[in-house]
Amino acid sequence: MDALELIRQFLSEHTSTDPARLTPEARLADLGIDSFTLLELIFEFEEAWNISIPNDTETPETVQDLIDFVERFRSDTPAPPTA
Amino acid sequence: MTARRVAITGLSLIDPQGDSTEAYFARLLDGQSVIRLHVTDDPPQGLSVPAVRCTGFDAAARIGKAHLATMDRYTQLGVAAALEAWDQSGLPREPGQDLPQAGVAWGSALGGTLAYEQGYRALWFGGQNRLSPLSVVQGMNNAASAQIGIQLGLGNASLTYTVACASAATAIGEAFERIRHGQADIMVAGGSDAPLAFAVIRAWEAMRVLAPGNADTAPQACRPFHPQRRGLVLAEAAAALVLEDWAHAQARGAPILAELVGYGVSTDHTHLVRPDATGQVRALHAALAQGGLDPADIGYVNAHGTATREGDPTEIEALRRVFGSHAEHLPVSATKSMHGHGMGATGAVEAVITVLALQHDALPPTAQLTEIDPACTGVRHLRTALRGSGVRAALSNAFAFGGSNAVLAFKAAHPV
Repeated sequence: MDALELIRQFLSEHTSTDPARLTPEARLADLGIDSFTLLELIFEFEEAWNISIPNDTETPETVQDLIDFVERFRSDTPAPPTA
Repeated sequence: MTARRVAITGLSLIDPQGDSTEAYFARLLDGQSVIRLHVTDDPPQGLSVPAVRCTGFDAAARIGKAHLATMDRYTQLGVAAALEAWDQSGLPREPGQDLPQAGVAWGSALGGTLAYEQGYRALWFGGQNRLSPLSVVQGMNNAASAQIGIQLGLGNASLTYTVACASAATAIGEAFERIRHGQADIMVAGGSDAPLAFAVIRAWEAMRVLAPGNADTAPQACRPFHPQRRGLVLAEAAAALVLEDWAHAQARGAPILAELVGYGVSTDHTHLVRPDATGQVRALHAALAQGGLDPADIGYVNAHGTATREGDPTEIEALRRVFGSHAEHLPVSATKSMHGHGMGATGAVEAVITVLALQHDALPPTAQLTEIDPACTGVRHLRTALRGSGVRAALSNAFAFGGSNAVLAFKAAHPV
């Protein structure tokens, strides 16, 4: 499943946000995804893609930030160590 | 300052069948049980036991889908009850509101037990090695009170009481004291529990106090004061009251449903699970004294009445001792015969039923009471609803494992 589709499903299951508002430029906070909800969404990415995202990473602000962020960890090799 | 009077300006009782508080109360007056056979086929073993599941409860419709994922079922039930009671009181519900003089006191015996069980299943049974990041906030015991505070903007105390089967009665009593002494003007008080976890049911079975039954007999499984009573029935439950400083309620023209006038609390300190009438008598006396009530003033007692062998006669003995010559005229019922035992929520369930009984001058019966155990005689057992008795004051008893007792005394808002 691609990242946008996973986010779309998450929004429909966990929020009452209108799916039409899901655009790459949209701010996560405006979609009802606060820092706490983001934890759950990152967990869903880890489960769905069988990846591991370390704790000490930056916090994405927009949908595109989030997609770029999780895509970095989507590879067959283990996630690169972070500083 | 002199102690303030405490009005009840809102209430809610979650109907397991999904209907309204008033409709549920009407069914209780008719003696209708919501107990059904609870059957599961989940690993490691299926279960079949009389219980109350809130099958008609629509959490998304009542709370909003956005909040559900962070809440264990006990919190969902509790928040729904709190919101309904709050709306009835006519208090504001604006996004971002901040009410520093309003708080919450909540009772739960088991807290987020279902979240715990789900986690254990996933780790030890499902072969997973990680849990959802929401596990902590779902499972914590103060989750319901915290979520209620967030939903309603309650900036005063957020308190959680775990006192086994007296949890919610204790929460209501302690909330009452905060208002009486001027520490808060408004308190949302009540309780919720969702005890139908596999391990919880097995643990209660091991104590040999769960009433047996099949699909046909389950609705009649809980028979307080009956000579053939076999024990209690576990129930998902939630109920809430809005308690408010009397003058505050009057000033804003709020509906005053009844008055909370007394809270008697005591501990048996004799045995973990065997109740002791002497401790119960102390709590009953304390509630009456604080409410300025004589035994003759009380027109109804909602008994703790769990339908265990030892509990029922002990409670009746305590009532006989406190009410003396009035006891035989004292209307008593155990509504657990119909709604089951909501564990930490049950004190709130029964407090709400007691308030509704005063409001409507209609006292619900003990269902299934076709015969009275000679050990439980000496009070006026209600086998059918009693309407129009002119009841002006009533008690709700909660007597817990651990020996903790809490008795609440209510007065009708408009004495007849």
